Amino acid sequence: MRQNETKPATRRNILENFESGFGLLWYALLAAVPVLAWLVRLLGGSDLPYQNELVFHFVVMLTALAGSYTESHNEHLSLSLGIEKRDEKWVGILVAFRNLAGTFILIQFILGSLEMLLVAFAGESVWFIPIQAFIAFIPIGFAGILYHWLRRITRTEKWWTHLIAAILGMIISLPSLINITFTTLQSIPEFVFSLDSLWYTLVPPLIPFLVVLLIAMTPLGLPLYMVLGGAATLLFLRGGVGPGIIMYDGYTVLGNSAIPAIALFTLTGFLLSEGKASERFIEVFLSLFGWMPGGMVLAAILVSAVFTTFTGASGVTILALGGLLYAVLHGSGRYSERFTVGVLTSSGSIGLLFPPSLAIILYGSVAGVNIRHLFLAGLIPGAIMILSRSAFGIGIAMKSQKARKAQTARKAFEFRRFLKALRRALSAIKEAAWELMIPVFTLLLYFTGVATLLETSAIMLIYTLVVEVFIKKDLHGRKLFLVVLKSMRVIGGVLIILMLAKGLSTFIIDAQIPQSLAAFVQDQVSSRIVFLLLLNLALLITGTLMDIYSAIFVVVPLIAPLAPVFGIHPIHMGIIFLANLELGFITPPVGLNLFLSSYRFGKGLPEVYRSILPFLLLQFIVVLIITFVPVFSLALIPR
Amino acid sequence: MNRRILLLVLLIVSITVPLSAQVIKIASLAPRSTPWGQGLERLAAEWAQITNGRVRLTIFHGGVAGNEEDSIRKMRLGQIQGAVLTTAGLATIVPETMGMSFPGILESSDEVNYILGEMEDDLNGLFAGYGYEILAWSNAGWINIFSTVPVLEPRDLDGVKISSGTLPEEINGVFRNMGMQPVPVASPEILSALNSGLVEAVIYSPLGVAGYQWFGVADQMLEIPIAPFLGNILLDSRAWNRIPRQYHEELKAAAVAIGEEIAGELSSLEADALELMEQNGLEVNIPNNAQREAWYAVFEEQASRIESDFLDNEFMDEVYRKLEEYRR
Repeated sequence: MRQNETKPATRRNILENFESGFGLLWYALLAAVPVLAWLVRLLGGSDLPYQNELVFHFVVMLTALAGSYTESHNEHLSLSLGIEKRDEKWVGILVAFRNLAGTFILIQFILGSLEMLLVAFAGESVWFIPIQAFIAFIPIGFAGILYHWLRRITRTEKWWTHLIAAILGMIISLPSLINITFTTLQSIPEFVFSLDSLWYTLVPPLIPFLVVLLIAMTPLGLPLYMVLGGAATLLFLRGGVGPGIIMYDGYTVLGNSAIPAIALFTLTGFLLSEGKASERFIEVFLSLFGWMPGGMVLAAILVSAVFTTFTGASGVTILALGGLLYAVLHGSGRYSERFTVGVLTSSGSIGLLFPPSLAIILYGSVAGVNIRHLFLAGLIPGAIMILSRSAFGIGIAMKSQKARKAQTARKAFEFRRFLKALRRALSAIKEAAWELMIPVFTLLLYFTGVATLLETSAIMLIYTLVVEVFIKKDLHGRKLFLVVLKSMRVIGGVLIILMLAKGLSTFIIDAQIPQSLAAFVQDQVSSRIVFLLLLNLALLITGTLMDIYSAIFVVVPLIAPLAPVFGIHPIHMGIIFLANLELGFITPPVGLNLFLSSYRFGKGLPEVYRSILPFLLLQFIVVLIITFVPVFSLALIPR
Repeated sequence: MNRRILLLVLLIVSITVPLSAQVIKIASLAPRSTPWGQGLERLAAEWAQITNGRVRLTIFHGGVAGNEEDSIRKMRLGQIQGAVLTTAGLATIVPETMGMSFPGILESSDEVNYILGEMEDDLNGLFAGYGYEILAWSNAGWINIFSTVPVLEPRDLDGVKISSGTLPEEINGVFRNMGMQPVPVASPEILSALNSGLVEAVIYSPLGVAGYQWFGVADQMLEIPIAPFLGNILLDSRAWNRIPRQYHEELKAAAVAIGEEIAGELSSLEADALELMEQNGLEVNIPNNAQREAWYAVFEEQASRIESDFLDNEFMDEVYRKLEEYRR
């Protein structure tokens, strides 16, 4: 996480109260509406009109305010190498430059979100509320971010330099300004014409230079969402399209049906890991699996895998379960911090190949292959992934146990000791019974068709709240409030990155880069092995740059037709595709799960990179095996 | 006046941008390998030929640019200049399109084609008012009820849980009125939802049901098509007006011809998909005459409820008048 160069204001100001207050309201509605709708349906009633749209826009408003609130605490993710903390003059100049770059980008985000608000939407409404009433929170959120950004940095810099940066930002985003002016005024002042033609001769050639500058600011601690969104903004401007499109794509990301569930599961995870529940879980894990070397790691990996299968591979596992499992593994005193972060980060997407994974279903429908066969094909490769990682974890655990000599040499089996251990386990389970019902209820609700994924996540959040506040009485008053706010800052940071990273996906699609690559491969490559290696590489890069749904929609139609050309079974192709994407999510520097992990565990990205390395290598070997040994994928498929 | 200013802007832009060709980006939900995908690629080739390479179409197949609503909004923002839309998206621009696709109004493909032909000019005028140029209309298919239990008459739908995440809210309202219980589930999740019993029925095009492989679980189809959906290719007027006027007529003719080809191929593709699904266990339930009449009675009752709410009633009256003429 980015370290503060200057102390954050300790006094909460009005804006922060507005952000946290309204953020909490949208959060509460986000949880309450699905639960109410679910109850009504259970009683045989009808559904709530516009329910999906309402929930979607609660997420939009929550993201905007939480994103700004995160900025107020200076907790947006960055790739800082720590240079900016040095106390030398040239560092000061670089930092000032970075701060100006931030203002330059933020003003374009504000313009872009205004452009989206005023141009993209016409007369749509949700229920009787015009859709713009919801969308308006996005420019408000970015304006809040700019306010916090400026408040923090102008102590050391001249204010007018930032004014110039803002004006430059507006000039660069002239297409947005024109779009807004035309839509609101229905006419354009004369001088705009000459400005416009000047812009077209001057700005597009400058863009590559600006993109390089922007990327150069990354190691100085420019927040990642600014780098990702800023780069996409500039690249689109090169073709004369304003930042409204970046904002709109970000908005559509939030409409993905898994996103509200992510927000809700994250808060549930925080309630469990920040209260005393984590201690109870540690005791359960220790007493149940602690006797076996690596047993706790194995359990953690399995829990992650099961959770991922039905929540999708969006990394929600890290956010929802990461805190708790971290407490269990590291808190037990048996595993180093680095190992714990590594194993949990790499397990964030491990259940991708098992039913009822959405990724498999989507792949099947986009590529036109049998979904049931895909699920069968995923069983062995998925098991290999879990087993290899568990074996690795057990190996590490045994090594460290030997070194620490924590456990004395194993004594012969003694009935009395066994009874004692059993009693300990039972009492641990009894202590944590309320919380242990959370996974049970979650699975029951979802798999028996009683509730949708969103409803399940909302029900479990409310259940957890009731358990922790009223039954276990661990969290109350101020502490509860602080935990919710902390989770809101994580949600804000994560969703803003998800929003703005989509712009790059869109640019890649717009520039038809995957098409050109596929054409190149078809023309130039004839060897099957070269093709598979290139495919691995291309998919790895795809996995780091694109979210899984975009990747499936964009890349699958391009590679699926190539499979028969190189003699690859279409089902095997699907497994290769998904296994590679899974690897991409944990590949530095921009794999999505690394960001989530950095947030959840409060570790800087370089530290997360170091901890993931052994797991990355392991996973890479597994992916190669899955790719080059088709029988693992094809053995279970009926001929 | 406004439009003229805009034209001027675009003119200046087009002079200053050192581009030899005008690139028009078109979004389509259909994958490249489908008749729509192939047809659009043919259209791109023909337009390039007609304009000697001055107009280049780039097609985003398979929904990579988002759903229909997204495509419309991206047109407004200027990232793309055209889209292939069906009723779902068209109705957000001109609600009367929804009126024409409502259950119980148009009852056969012949009626759809006839009404489209008769109302085309009025419809195109409505769209032009919002800044869109329609290139070609077509009948894009019908939606059917697929369910886990056999459905033969409207009564069978009482209390049936139906997925409501994929259709416009006006249509969900019809489900509610018909006694069904809509459950909000997005299309990628429908397969799991059908398996777990969270939903028991979907109303969708047979091609979509085949593509998503829902028929493995929802293996009962009511033979009566519920409602048609209209489709068209449209461009942002700003982009259309930038194309030199001398080409307009020829370009449109090419689009209309390809639209007709696509419609023909689609109906045969749909027949193939149905046949394939039937081989894999789909049962098509054919209602008797009394049941059939019960369906149309329900549809017509629903249609009469909706019309006054959000539609231009004069336009719809015209549709009804034309229909009556045709049916006589």
